[in-house]
Amino acid sequence: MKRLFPVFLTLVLITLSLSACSGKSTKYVIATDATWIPFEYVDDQSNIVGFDIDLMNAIAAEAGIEIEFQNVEWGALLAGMAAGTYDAAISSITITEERAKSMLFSDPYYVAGQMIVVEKDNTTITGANSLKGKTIGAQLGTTGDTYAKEEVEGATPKSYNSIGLAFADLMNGQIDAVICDTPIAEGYVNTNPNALKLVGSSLTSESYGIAVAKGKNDLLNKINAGLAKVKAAGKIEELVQKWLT
Amino acid sequence: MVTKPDLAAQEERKIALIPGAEPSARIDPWWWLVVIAVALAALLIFTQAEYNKIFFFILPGLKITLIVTFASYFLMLIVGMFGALGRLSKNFIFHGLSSLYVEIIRGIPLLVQLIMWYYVFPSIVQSIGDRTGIEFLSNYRADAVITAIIGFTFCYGAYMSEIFRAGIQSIPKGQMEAARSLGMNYVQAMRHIILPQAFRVVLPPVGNEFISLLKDSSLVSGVAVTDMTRRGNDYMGAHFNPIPVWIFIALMYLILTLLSSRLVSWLEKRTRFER
Repeated sequence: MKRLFPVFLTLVLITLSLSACSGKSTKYVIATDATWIPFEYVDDQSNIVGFDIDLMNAIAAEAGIEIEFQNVEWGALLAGMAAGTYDAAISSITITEERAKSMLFSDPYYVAGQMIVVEKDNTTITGANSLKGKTIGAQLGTTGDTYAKEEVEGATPKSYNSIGLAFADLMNGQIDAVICDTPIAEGYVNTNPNALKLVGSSLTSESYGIAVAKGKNDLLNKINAGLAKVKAAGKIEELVQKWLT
Repeated sequence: MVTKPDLAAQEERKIALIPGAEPSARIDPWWWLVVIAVALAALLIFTQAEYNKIFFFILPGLKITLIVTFASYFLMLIVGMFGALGRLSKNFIFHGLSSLYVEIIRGIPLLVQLIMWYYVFPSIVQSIGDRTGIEFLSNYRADAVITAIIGFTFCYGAYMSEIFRAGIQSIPKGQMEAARSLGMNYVQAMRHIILPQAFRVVLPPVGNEFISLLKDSSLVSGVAVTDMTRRGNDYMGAHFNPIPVWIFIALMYLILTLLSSRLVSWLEKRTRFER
């Protein structure tokens, strides 16, 4: 014990000195939930990559601001934006009235839809009309989740912390369908072609926007200006080609 | 007549035959469980390409998990010690403060506490900074790992206080009386007589708290810390395969906790009275 005490003390001092080193940087912190391929995900070399990441980097270059990405869980991201913990967030965030109450949104940069995924041998669900009374899974806090809760009559919605677990439940037969953004739905169906299939056509038409913390209007203006320049230069089409085809 | 060399040879044979002296009896058989778990993990990592990728991907998360666990553990031992001494103190203020601390912290779930530390605490600090005009406070940005460590320290420190208090109270009153009658004051008696004995008593639950902390560290994936669980989520998000990822991560946590419980067991054996 006598010999352990100095070791113990050193460890405590190291921990405390680490906390002193956590200084603030002048870069803007952009939150993203990097589990939403191909918009933002972590590649095998542990870099955060994707459509949204490239777009945000281009906007930052045009607007002359420095940014750094922080990979946070979706629920924590929405809570953090409402609390102002992060400066901005780009994470396939659909612009909705509900969300606009707690954060600012940039101009839309992409129009997406939701798709229904069911088990391969399911013949009862063929589209949005046949979802009545079924158990539908979606990621908590996404527009797919809102759709399952509000737009479908008599359905039992089930929320999951991450969409992968919703699909795992679907493949185990615990739920009838999963609703999520089209690229993710396509990704899961392509990786599990013998277990899943897409049904129906795109359910909704929603616009992705960059969320900015309330009160940071100058950042919002810079992002909008950068986004306009990037759109004019045809960058969006270039990124769609790179990531979504 | 028995000659001296015969006697010596007989004694040697007797000693060799005493059961429990062979090396195989001194190794705890529970180590086999660790060996099996590690062998299973190694088998998966080196024969299946997918598990190999998963393993190397979650390795940075493993480092963060261990940092958070060890740092929180050492800090919470200190907090627990002070909390226990406070609860035992006859001083009204110390007793009141530490009791209040223990009661409040034990009443809020750990996940909620972590969320409050990461989201609510900075906004409180920032609004204090805005009101008083101190710029350092206004611009306070929480570092995710440090905040998580503080959160764990506060929460588990309350439980540690109760464990240490139980350990100290289990030492017979006679020990303290004897120490005082030898001329030691309260602090000397605690340091030289009571606490070393209490150490042996609290070792099982304190070791237990370490193992519990190791697993609860997975909650930090919800407050922006990239630990092993979060890395698993990241990998699953990029590769669409939940089942292998979670099986493997469960196996990793199992290996860590099995190793920790072996360590605690070894410490217990080393410090017990009978050998």
